[in-house]
Amino acid sequence: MEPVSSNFEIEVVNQPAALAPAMEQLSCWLDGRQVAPAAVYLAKLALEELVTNCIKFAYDDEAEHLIQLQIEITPGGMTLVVEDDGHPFNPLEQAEPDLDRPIEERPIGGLGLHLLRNLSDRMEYAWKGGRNRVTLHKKATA
Amino acid sequence: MDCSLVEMDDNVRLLRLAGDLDHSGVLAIEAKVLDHCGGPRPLVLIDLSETRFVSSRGIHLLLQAVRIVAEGGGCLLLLNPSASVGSALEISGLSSQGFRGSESDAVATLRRPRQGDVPS
Repeated sequence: MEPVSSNFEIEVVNQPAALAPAMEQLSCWLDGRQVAPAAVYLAKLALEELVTNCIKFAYDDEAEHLIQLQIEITPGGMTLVVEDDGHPFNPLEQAEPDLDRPIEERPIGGLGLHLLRNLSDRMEYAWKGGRNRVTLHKKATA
Repeated sequence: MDCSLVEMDDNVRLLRLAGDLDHSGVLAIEAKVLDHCGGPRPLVLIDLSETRFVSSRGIHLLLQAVRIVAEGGGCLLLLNPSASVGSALEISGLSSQGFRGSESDAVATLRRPRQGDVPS
């Protein structure tokens, strides 16, 4: 991890086309940091899964909304926060996918949050000021 | 995201996926990957050694590929994923499709008779 603190912040419009350029920007920023591969993976996964969920499910109107992603990397690890002003949605209350069923019979869905829960060291959710806030932590040694 | 196909001598299709298998990566290669998973008794190797990242969208594509191959009575293996991609596959319940080793060893595993096969 970085010898000193380093921060990244981006706002993504709730349009599917906004995801690829945001991912490109995040990847470029991560490439210039001393970040463990597992943390790089988690950061990209959070952008893809949480922002995609917001774009698909968080809004009923046709208005433009901004989804915020903030990353702080310190010598101790990485903290990543995603905030949106969509419907209240607690990812920690979502059911785990049934992975005991044969692959051919498994329902689609729920894998993104399952991956985030398992690849992070801690995942938190808060609803505050009319906004969803999901926080992921990854220790430097993990 | 790039997808290249190698038709191997022993009727095995080798698909090499290079780059990030995220939302846009899947859109770029989905049709090509699934096209090569069809037909009777397909034997498919998907080489993930150059795949840097797989999101749930990418996992769904791999699951679809496994299902199509299984419906045709064939077999599919995911070859040599990186540590990070391998972790994501394992967490997603796809570790049974994983294979680490050489292409020739993977082909031998694909061609091995499985339970339910009828001897010719």
